[in-house]
Amino acid sequence: MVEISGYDDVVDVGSTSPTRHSQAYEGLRTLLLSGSMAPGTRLTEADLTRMFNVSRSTMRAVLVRLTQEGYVTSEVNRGVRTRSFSVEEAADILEARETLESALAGKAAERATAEEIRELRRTLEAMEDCKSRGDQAGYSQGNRRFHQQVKEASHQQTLARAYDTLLYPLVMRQYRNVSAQHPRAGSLEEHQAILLAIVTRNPEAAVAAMRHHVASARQALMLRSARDEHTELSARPEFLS
Amino acid sequence: MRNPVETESGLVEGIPGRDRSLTVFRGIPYAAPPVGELRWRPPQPPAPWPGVRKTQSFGPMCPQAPNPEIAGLDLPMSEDCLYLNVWTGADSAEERRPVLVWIYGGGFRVGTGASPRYDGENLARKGLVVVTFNYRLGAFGFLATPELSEESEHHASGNYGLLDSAAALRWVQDNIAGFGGDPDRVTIAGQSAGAGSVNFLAMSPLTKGLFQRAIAQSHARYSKDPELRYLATSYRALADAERAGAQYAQERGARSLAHLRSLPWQKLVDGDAIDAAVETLSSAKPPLFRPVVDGWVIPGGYEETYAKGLQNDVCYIAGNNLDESGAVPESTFAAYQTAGKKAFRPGMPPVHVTLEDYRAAAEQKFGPMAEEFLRLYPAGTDDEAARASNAAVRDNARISTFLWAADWARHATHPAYTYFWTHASPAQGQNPRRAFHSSEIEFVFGNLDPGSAEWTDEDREIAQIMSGYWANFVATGDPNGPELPHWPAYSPDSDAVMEVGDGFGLIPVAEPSRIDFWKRFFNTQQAW
Repeated sequence: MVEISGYDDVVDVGSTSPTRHSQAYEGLRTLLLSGSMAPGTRLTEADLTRMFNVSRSTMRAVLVRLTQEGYVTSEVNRGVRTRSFSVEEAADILEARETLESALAGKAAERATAEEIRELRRTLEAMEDCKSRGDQAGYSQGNRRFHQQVKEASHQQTLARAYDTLLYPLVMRQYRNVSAQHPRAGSLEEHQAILLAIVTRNPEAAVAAMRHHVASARQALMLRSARDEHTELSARPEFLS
Repeated sequence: MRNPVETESGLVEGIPGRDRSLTVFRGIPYAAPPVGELRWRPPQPPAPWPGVRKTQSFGPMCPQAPNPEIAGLDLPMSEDCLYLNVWTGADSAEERRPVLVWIYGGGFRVGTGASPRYDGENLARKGLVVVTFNYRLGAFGFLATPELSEESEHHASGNYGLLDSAAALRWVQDNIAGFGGDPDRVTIAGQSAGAGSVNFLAMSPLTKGLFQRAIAQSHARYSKDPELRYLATSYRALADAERAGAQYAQERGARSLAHLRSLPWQKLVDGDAIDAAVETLSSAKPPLFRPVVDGWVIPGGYEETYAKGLQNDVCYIAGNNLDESGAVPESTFAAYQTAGKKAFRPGMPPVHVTLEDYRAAAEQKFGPMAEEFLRLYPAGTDDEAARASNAAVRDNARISTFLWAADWARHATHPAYTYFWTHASPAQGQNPRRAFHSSEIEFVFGNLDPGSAEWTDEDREIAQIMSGYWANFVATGDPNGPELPHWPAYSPDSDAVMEVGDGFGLIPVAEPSRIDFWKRFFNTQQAW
């Protein structure tokens, strides 16, 4: 369903319309991933039902789901809050990402279709173009698209689902070093190495290249020095790397 | 464009566009962050910065409920959101290119100037300097309360979002020459709530002289058309707005204005709050938060302002779309009939696809004139009712804008051009295609990007003509130019409107008997 929230809406009744629940779920999840709310922000049912125009029971169900998935925490007497990761939790999640995503890259080297490889190449070209023009936001978007495309090209549903449940975008945002150069030196070359391994159908090389890339990205985070200042850092309107 | 560019607040450094002859500046602050004590105050000048500010990333979008307009945009949301973006192809500040300032739509509650639909690159390639910006939305942009009016030296409140637009226009006056833009050739343009903003800014003494031309895409309506009351051109009286605002503050548990200002912004974002008290003769209702006739930013309503000729005397383009305000393509009748009366959002314009519903709506809207209406737009089956309803909605829109133009032109010395957009677009996932509300946007910007929808060669030809008209109008005040079908200006002597889209040429506004009917009906209505 397409609904343009203007004065004069368009509703595409012909297509499948997601339920209120899934709209509110997707909307809140997107909002949490956008970093608009600092880690540890209290979320009240009353505010959220107003914001999403759903009933309290629908919003409660959405919050249960997001709690199970780890986007928010829910504690007696503290209410529902946006997730704030300890350094240990963050390191754990990023380690899992290294393992999962390198496996996905390996499978992509075996199974990517010609069209998928063309798409990956196009994304990388766009990233190169953004980097040379100094378009940091465009580079970040390309980066995210590249990783999604590798995941899809793996044709490995179980790994892909596990990867989707990782909360690493939230971790990256919370621990991002906002004063560091962006894109990180070596980032583009690392992506090129991953693509090369996929194009040459070399799974071992793809696994290694992705592992190296994800580890480098992890090392650039402020996992050691952050401690308690992470709330302040992530509250700044910065882009996810 | 040689980097960096000097602005009154400091130097800014842009980045090359995808077309490297262009330079793009993203996220230039045009006002101080409206946070803390500055929440619900007119925008203040931005703090100057030392050195060169890298303007490569869009600023955060203003607080709003998650919605399809911003889905997948990957931008943070923050109350610190008053930023603008500039696209220019000028080589140096010596050039004087015409300037388009785009005001986004979204019911005064959603939207961002960073939307790819409004990417200025293609119009910049046609020689314009394009500016998009963010303005405050919802309660942040349009809350009025007695306390807010009291603390204002103008005894007014509720138009912070419009004041943001005015501040962006003043920024353009002060700074656009540095980007190769001509401050004496500025066009404001917008769609839906953006078109509403255009109409209001055209009536505001605060923006006199800040622009020379205006484009209102959808909803410039005759003051006596009851549809106007829920469309983007709707407004509130100050007393009503203050009353609703006081209640809003109370519902949020605010003990005082200071307390309300101290609440986190997440507590003040509303989904679909509507103003149910407005009599619209149908179930369509406007959003609660919208502009206010406050005696300062907007001195008066449409009828009064136009009758006295108090509006800003600028060149104007205004028009409507085939499939909006409750009209839907025939290919979707069956789907609407299956969906029944399910409301997809409170307050949205109703779609009538059954005979029973169509007749009941006619009774509600036209009262004693319902019988005559049903003779002019007859129906005996559900499908006939759906077609008749479409015909009535579309006649209503064309006649209303035609009468708006008559009122507008009475004291105007510059021409007005009216259009009716008929081309069905695949944008925004529309399947089947339709000429839906906002569907002309990609075409006037020339933004038929591969991947964003299944565009055809015909779409590209139409986009070439539409963006050509818009670029010409921004440059000269006249959409006409070489290789474009002729578009005559509005004239009271001709009941005609320019079709743009599937055809390009004059079409009748409506059959004379129907024009006569709508005029008489409007005359039974209170003027806004």
